[in-house]
Amino acid sequence: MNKEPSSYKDPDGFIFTQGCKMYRQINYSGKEDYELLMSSGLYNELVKERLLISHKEAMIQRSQDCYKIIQPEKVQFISYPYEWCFSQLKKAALATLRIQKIALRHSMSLKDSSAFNIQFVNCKPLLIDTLSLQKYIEGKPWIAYKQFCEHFLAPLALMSYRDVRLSKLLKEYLDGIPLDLASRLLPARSKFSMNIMIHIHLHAKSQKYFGNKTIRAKQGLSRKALLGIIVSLEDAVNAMKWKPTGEWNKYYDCINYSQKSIDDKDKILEKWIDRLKPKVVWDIGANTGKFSRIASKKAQLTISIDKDYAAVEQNYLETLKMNDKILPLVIDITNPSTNLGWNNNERKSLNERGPADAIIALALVHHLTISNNIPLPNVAKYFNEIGKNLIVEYAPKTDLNVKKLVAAKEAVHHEYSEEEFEKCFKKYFRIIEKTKIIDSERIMYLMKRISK
Amino acid sequence: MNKKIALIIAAVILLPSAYAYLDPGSGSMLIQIIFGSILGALFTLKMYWKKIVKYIKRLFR
Repeated sequence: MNKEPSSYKDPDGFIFTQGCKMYRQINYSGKEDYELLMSSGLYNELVKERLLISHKEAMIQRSQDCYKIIQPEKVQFISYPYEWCFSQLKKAALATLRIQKIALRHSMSLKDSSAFNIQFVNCKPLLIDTLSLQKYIEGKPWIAYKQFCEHFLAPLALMSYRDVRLSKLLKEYLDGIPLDLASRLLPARSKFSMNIMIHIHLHAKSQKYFGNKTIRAKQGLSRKALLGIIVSLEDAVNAMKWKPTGEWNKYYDCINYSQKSIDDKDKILEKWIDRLKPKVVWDIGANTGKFSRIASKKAQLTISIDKDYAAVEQNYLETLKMNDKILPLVIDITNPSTNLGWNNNERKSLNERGPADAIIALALVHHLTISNNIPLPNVAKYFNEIGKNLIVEYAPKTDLNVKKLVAAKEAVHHEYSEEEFEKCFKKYFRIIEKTKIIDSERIMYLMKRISK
Repeated sequence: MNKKIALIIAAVILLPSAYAYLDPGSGSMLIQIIFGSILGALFTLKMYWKKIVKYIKRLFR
């Protein structure tokens, strides 16, 4: 039994793997709440609405303190809130509040509203922590209210009112953005929103004022009042807007090329994906996901990675509309997510969540080598670490976009030529196929990883 | 809007002496108790308002 390093907080149970399967142990302390979840009809309603992960009871050997072992449905790729775009975080927040509203109807309540408990499955947010629902006790305030404000409301408000890139604060503050910090960073105009004023600004003041005080409660919080708070949070989240500036279609640097070469590139990619039949594809530097959409026709899941918030936002909204098997994420590949949290083991690095069956790196290598000064051997070595197969594009120095990059770069960049490219990649990959894109100077390569 | 803010500030200044909690999250619990009844009442009003609007719309149909 291998206990999942991130599953240590809840005394009522934990996640573990055995073989290649993942299970959740429910301890006797969590028995009552689990039974209520199953018998109240809440589980069925949430699973039917695709808000809660489904599970089956597992018949495997268990320890003495174990009441039950369940096997949740498989989540193919775990992503983290600091990798989500604005609309993903907003959808996750609304899903959490919807779950809490439904739970209250069944006399249950969320004891935990961590954004890390939400995962995107088929582009929709899903609560993966079956044990985060507990019996609702009339009169008790919502125990997960503070966590909701710190994990969802504060980052959304900062993204919406200040700058969308502030979501990366969640990387530093894994337990949510402290409300006093959010309150200081938000502009004064945010105080004109009653809901932001209450749940962030006054909440932060209240935390500071009552933090060390021991006082006795005279009255609780009625069910109606609690519902009022949930609806007010819902209104606050719904009011958050972020519209990227500029035009999205400018992102594809192939826009300078003829339709013939664009079509040819699509065809080559489709043919190679069909040949590889990968389960999981990582499209790196995916922009708005044009090539991810081609890959997703054959792959079970395509992780569509880009550092640009506007591109990922557009990609996610399109994915949602088309119900594609794509998970768009905001990740800068020159600084990918690292291991974080307790013992540097709680949240996994991007590398540890791989390797992907296939990596797509189109119109990317020249950006890495010329703009980011990453030498070709380093690029090849990195792709070898994260992918079993590679579909990569080489653009020569005579290419219009490469010329622009070289002109913009004052300092000398690393060696960059077709010969050097092949020499570096051959050290880590076997070239299966090489083909020139029609009507352009660019070359596409299909490569297979040489075992490390 | 000014009236709303004045009401919120008054609530925060006046109510803390009456309600309280014991754990480290007491500030978060208290803010719920302080504003819960106001937000609950607003929610109820909103529900009734929707019903009234629906009723009036039906009258003029």
